[in-house]
Amino acid sequence: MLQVENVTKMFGGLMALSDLTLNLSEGQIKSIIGPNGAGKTTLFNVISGFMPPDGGEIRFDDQPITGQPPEKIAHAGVARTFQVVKPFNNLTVIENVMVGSLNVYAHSRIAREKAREVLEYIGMADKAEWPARKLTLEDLKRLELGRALATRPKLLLLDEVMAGLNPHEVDEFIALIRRIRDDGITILLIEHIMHAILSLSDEVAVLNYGVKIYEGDTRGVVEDRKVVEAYLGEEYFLS
Amino acid sequence: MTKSRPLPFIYVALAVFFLTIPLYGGDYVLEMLIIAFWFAYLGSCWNIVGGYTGLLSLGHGTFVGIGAYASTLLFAHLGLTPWIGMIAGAVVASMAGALLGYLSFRFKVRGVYFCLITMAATEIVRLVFEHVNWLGSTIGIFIQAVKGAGGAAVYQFGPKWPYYLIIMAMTGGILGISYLIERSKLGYFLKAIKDNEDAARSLGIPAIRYQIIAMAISGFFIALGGTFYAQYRLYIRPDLVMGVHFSVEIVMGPVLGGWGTLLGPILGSLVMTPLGEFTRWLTEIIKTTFHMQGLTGLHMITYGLVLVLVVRFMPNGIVGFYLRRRELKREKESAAG
Repeated sequence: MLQVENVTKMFGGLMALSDLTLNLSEGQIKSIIGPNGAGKTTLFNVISGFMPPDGGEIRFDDQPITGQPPEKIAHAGVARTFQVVKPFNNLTVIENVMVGSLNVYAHSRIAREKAREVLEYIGMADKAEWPARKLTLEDLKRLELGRALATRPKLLLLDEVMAGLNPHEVDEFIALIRRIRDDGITILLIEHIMHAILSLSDEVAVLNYGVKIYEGDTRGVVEDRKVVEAYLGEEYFLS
Repeated sequence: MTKSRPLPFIYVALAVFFLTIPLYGGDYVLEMLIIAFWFAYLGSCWNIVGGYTGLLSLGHGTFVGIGAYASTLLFAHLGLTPWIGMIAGAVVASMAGALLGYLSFRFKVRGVYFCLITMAATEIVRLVFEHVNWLGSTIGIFIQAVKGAGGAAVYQFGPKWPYYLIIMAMTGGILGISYLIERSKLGYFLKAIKDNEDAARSLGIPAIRYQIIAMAISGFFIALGGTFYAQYRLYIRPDLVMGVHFSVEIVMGPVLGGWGTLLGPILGSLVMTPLGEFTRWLTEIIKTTFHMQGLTGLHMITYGLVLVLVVRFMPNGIVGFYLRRRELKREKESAAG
C-alpha cells in the first residue's frame, strides 16, 4: 500500500536518508527503529509531504505522492502524529478532533458527533470540553492520535506516540494501537520502547545514518549483529 | 460543567437602549456613537483575519479606502448610486485582499513580516491616491450633496439618526456573520491554522487557501464600512480612510476588547472612542487650569498612556480578561469541591 523507493534526502552535506526503500502492505504494523538522528522523523516528513525528497519516489495506493503538499497527502488517506505534540491550544478537546473530522464531514454538527465517537474510541470522552492546553502529556498524545483518526485515514504514521509515558500508559497505548490496526488501518510506527515494538510489530525496519540496515520480522532484529551494534547495544544482545 | 449564559434579556435591553438613543440623545452623543460603532464594525471585519486567523494585518485601511473611493468615484463620474457602488468597492477590496494574501502566503511571508507587508501595501496605496489628481490627491473628494427626499436613494441623509441606524445594522450584520463563521468549518479551520499550521495541514487543511478566503471575506465587508464613512462625511481624503495610522486605529478596538473573540472588537471600540473623548475633555481642563495652551498633543499622550496600562494589565483584552477570570474561578470551585 505504501512504497518508498530509493528516497534520498540531504540537509546541506548531511545525508539524512540515503537511497531508502521501504514497503508496507495493507493491515500491517511496521516499526521503524534506530538511534537518534538516524532519519526516522525525516522519513515521516518526506512521506507526509512536509519535506520534498531530493530523489526517489513514494507511492500510496499505487498513486505517486512524491512532493505533494501535506494537505493533499492527508486527503489521499495518510494521517500522522508529531513527535513533539502540536495541539490546537485554544480549542477544546472535542474541537481539536473536529478539525480532523471536518475534513471528511463538512457540516459542523455531524463533524462534532463523529468527533465524539472518536473520543469514546480513544477513551477521552469525559474530557471533551476541556481546553487542550490543560491536558497532561499522555492525554495530549492520545488527542494527537484521535485527531489523526478523525480524518479517517488508511495509513497512520505514529511518531513516538509512547515516548515519555509510564509503563502502564504504554500498555494502554499498545492495546489502543492494536485495536486501530484490527479496525483496518495500516500503521507505520517510530518508537524507542522495545517492549512496545516487539509486541506490536509485524515487521521492523532499522535505520542508521539514513541507511536501512535491517528489514524483517521482530525475532530477527534482536539477533542481527549490525542492529545490535548500531542501536540495541551489547547488553541487549547478551540478555 | 454547565455553561453560564447571560440572559437573553440583557441583549434585548441593550438593543432597545442603543436603538432608542436617537430619540433622546443629542447630536454630540450620536456623532460619538456613530464613530464608535463604525470602528466596532471595522474591528469586527479585521477580526476575521487578525483575530480568528492570527494574521496581524496593519494595513486593513487599504480595503476601507478602496470601498470609500470606489463608491465615491462611481457616483461622481457615472452617477451610480453608492448603494450599488459599495458592492463594486467591496468586490474590488475582496480581490485586493485575496491578492495580497496570495502574494504573502505563497512566498511564506508570516508573522511580523506579514505585518510589515500590509503596512507597506496600505502606505503605497495611500501615496498613490494622494498623488494622482484624478483620484482627488491630498485635497480629497467632496461628494455632491443631494437635498431632500432624493438623498436616501444615493445613500445621503440630512439628520444623523439614519446613519446611526445603518451602522448599527451593519455592526449587527457582521456580528451575525462572525457568529456563523465561528461555528462553521471555516471558523474551526482558521483557528486551527492560527494555533498550529503544520498540524492543521497534516489533517488535510489547505492552510494558504483558507487564509486567502479569510482575507477576501474580511476585505469585502470592511470596504462597506469605507462607503459608509464617505456617505456620512460626504468627504474623503486618503489619510482618513487608508494608511498605517488609520489601519492601526482599526486594530485598537479588537486589541482592547479581545481579538479572536466574537464581542471583543465591538466592546473594545465602544470603550475606545468615548475614552478618546474623555481624555480630550480631561486634558482640556488640565490645560486651562495650569495655563498650558501650547501643548496641543497632550490628549494623545493621555490616551496612549491609558492604552499602555490596559495592554499591560489585560493583555488578552476585556473579553480575554473576563474569560480568564471565569476559568480561574471555575478551577477554584472544582478544586474545593
